[in-house]
Amino acid sequence: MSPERWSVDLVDRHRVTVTGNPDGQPVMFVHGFGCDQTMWRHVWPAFRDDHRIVLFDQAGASEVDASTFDFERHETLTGYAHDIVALCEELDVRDAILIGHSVGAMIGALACIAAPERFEALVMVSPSPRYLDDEGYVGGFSRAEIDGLLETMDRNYLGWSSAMAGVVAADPDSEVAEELENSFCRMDPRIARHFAQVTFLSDNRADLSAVPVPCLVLQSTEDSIASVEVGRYVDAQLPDSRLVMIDTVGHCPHLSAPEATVAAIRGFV
Amino acid sequence: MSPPDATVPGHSALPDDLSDDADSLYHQAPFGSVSTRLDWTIFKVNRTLLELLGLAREQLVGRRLPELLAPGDRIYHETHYAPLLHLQGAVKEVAADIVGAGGVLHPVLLSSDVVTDERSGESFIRTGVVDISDRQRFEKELVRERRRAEASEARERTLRQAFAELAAAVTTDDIVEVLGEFATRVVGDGEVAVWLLSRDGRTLERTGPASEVTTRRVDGSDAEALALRSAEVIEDPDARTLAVPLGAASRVLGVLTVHPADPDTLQPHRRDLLVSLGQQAGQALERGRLYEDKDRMLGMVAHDLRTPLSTIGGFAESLQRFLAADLEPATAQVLERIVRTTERLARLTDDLLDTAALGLGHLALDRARQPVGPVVIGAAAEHLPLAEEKGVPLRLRDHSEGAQAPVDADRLVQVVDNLVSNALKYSPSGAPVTVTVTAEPERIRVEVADRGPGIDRSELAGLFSAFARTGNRPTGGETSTGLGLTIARGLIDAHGGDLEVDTEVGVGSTFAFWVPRDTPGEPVAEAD
Repeated sequence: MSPERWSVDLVDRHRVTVTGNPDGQPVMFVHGFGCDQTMWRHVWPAFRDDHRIVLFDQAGASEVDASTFDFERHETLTGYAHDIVALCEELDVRDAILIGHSVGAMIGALACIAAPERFEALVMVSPSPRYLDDEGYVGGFSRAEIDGLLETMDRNYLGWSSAMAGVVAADPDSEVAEELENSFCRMDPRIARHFAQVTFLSDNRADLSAVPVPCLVLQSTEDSIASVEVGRYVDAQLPDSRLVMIDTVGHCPHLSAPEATVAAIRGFV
Repeated sequence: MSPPDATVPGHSALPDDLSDDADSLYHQAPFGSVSTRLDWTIFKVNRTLLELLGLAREQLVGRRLPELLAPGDRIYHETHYAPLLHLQGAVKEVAADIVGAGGVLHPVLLSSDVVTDERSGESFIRTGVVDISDRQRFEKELVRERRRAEASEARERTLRQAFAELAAAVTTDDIVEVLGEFATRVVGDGEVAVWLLSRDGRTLERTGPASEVTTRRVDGSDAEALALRSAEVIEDPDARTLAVPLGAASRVLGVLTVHPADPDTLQPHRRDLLVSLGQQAGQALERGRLYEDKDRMLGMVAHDLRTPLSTIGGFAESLQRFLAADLEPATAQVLERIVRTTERLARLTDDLLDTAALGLGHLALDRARQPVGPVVIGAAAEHLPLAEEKGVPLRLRDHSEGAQAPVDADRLVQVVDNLVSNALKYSPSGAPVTVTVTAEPERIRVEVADRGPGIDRSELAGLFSAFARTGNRPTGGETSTGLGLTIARGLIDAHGGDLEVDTEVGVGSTFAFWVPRDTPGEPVAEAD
């Protein structure tokens, strides 16, 4: 895990984008499922004037070929957290604000625990420390349901490709369309499945109380993946945190209600 | 109504603006269609979808589309499908299951677009739903068939491999090892034991590491005994063991018992595999027994011949001594022939005894650590007179500098004798035979090289098998038993070394063997 070994391809491997104000406090966006750094595109521009913006893709997110993905390193979320720390070392990021969505929020939390000197605050959007139900804890899902998800992901090996292939942006001439056509959601299905398996079968409840920085938890009013109950639980377990509800339906408030999301984050940083 | 179209006789034209066109198109489309708000709340659904799901409109409108999906698909929708639609504006052909009336799951393909209504400017999501239950059924069957074919192929491969290894196995130990290995592969987690029938046919002895019960009586009532006597697979469901006979019909020579940790492992196709393995192993065991019987008999016959031969030879020699002075040349010659022939028979009998002993693994070596060079050169030197007689230069080279090895000197002499006499036998006058001894860090190497006719490739394979003879004619009219090389190789093998030949027709042959300089477990000693 030595930095030297990674330094050459780290930035490429994670398709790091650094933009915004180079003198501003760094804000690092950590995506969860579904895609890659593009998920943040309605949110990060709001902070570009005052902050140095760091966007990156999780390991495997932009690799069509799974042959370079390190399955062993990424057997647990800690592996992904180490990726973040390695990136911070490579980019010399300090006193940063981490903004993570869904499993990215937990990964961010683990990164803060691993390298507390690098981070100043953590924003967790739709977080969940454990998705499976447990005694006295409602994660929201049974093992059978998770198995069903993994089966769906297996089935959609082909479906995923055709979804990627058929790109129709609202405005075919905009540069957004170009951006979509080139880079989009090209996670190798095996890696996607692996990521889903690691995430949905993980249990990081015990780590919450060890998060050393102040946190903001953003919770959709209706989210079947990370329910309000889970959001409240996360807020309760974190030593220093605040819970803000976003009036929207679904698991991605940064997509379905970007203005409210931006406003909530602004109120915190 | 417009007048009939003059260009298409017999058809009345239909108006272009049929008012219910769009509506019937929508409701009778060959795929389902559902329109939702951006938060996926359903507000419109077509008849095709309602019919597919067996639901009424009221049951769908107002609900969120992901709620209609099977649990795993619901998660997928929220975490992958919906965000993708947000970012891309469209998603094509994602497979999912929709729950219809009575909880029935319908496999479908979903495709969604974000659409803007022209009149109101509002955006909503339109999702096409294609029923793929037929396609899925075919796919499932295909996958199932392919898996079955693959499993069958895998089983065949295992069997072929097992059969090949069993055919190549020479000793009973080899056979038992191969059988145990493959049985374990078939059974997975669990115990595997191989029982062999004793020579007297009364007991089954368990092979392998010492265990508590090692013998079963053949006339007993254990599963193993039953399997042996009946030549059938005996299953004991309580103990969860399976006893498979090794061999078939009246030629069962052992039993394989398996005790899998998971009882489901005893499925028919695995059982069949084990039975096939057992039959093949039984044949291999039988073959092994035949080899053993052959060697045993050989040894017994040779042994029984030995003593009378000694007597004949001894008495003939005595006659020679007693009557030496009084014999006429013709009679003396007759007596000489008797002595010589008896000696030859004695040598043959000794060879047979050695062959039998080697085959049964009974040949004992009397090893002592000593310089190998002098032994080899000494043995070869005995042939100098004969070599001179044939006009064949016999060159002896010892480069081993006194290197030592734990060898049985008499047996080493026997090997060198055989190799050198062979070399001389097939060498024409003038073609030299060279004997070289060299020392390597871990072994001592001896080469006997001749410039004889060489050995044809077709004869190479069987060269070391018993009673083999090449097509070459001995240059001095010598005869041989054909056992020499077999015994020589056996003796070198017994030393832990190897005997090989390098030959080229028209050029000559080099027979080379090596012996290890130390026995395993002992450190290599410094040469004096």
